[in-house]
Amino acid sequence: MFKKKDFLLIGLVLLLALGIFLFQYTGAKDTRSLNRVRVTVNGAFFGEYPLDKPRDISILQDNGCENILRIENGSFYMLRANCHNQLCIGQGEVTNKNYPLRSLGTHILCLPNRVDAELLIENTGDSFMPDI
Amino acid sequence: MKRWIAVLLALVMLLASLPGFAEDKYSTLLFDYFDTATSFMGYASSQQEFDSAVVLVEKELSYLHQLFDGYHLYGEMHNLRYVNENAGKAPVQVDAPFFTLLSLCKEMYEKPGFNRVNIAMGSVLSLWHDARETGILPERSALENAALHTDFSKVILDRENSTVYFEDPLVKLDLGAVAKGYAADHIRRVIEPILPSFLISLGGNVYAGEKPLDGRKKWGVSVQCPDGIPSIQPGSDILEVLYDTHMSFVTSGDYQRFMEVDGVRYHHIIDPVTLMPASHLRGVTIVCESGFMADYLSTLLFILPYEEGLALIESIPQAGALFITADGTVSMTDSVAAIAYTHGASAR
Repeated sequence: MFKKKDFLLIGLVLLLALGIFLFQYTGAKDTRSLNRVRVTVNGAFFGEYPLDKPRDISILQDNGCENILRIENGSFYMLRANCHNQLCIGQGEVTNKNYPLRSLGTHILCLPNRVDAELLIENTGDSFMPDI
Repeated sequence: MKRWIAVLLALVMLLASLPGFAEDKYSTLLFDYFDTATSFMGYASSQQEFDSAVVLVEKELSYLHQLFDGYHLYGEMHNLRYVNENAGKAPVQVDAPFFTLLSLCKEMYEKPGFNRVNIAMGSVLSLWHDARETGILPERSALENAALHTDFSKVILDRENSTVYFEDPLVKLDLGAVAKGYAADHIRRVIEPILPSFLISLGGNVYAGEKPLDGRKKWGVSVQCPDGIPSIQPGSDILEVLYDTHMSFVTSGDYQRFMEVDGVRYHHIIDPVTLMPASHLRGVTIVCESGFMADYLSTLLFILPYEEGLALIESIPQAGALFITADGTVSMTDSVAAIAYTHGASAR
């Protein structure tokens, strides 16, 4: 038969479970920037760069498409692109702070050249942050 | 012995209480379909599990893209271009998804008040398409001549044989108003059984599946702010965020695809009555379960005057809308307000 100690153990485990459950569901959590940008070309990995070192990244493709992504002051933006609509330039910068308020979120996207630059964040289920 | 069984049971309960314990969010961008970017994301236990879902998404997207492509032929496939070139001569047999889409459009078109979305006005739309490429506005006479061949009742659908026939050989179909929303419905049916917690956006045609597995109860879908309209916060370009699950969100607006001539903006949503871009709204977002319906209604409401569109959407209990009128006023139906950030909704 069960002993007192067993009930204690079961009780402790259940308490732990309840704690984790509450943490998962009510914990007011934010997304957190990982301070890195990942670049993909046509969906394939191109490179990953820390935002704490300023630099220009040339994303040159065999088909002649070229984008220059600038990293400075912990942010990144598209400096130049030889695409026809230049929308990526107009998308402005992504910083560790502004991404929840951008309609493109963590992304700068050059559709004609198929280039995507994405701020890497830890997804923790923020109650505001849109997914798209 | 029994004691250890009890402990084991408690441990199992502990593990079961961890929501999405082993699930991470993965995402990918696909560029090859419907002349737009497709964003697909979901919660999976591994990159491999997510990648196998992506393979299925691409297979379906690739097929539907080819089927509804009005500009290219793919081998023997009876796709949109093939139909437009041949259905005026004799009935053309088409695959079930093609036939179903045409039937759905016809069903909607025949409802009272729904006929301002006409997929048989391809000849008019192609003039506007060319205009956006060349930057030169179409001639009024050319538009009016083209409009003589836009009678949807001349498109004969034979359910038994799954064929389409144009009684007027100069009729052309254009599926731009409905194809992406309909495609999203197809992808949903394929993906739901293997990766239920996912979100897909086909160039702004969004479908959000089961809740995200990170503690949130809803997906968040942002509505982009048209230029010159205040956003939710200074420095943002988001007008609104809508939170829901198992729901389609489709926006039609004047601020994505357009041309400018002499400082006037000509966008891509053409009113079949005036043959010109509709001008009552800056944008409209439809929220309803069916992606096809959301896509169709967003085009329809964008074309209709605001009051007419509002009355129409309020007559459809399963759909809601967010309007941005030409003067910049934002309004929404009660069902949309209930899931809107500015009315207090959140993902939790």
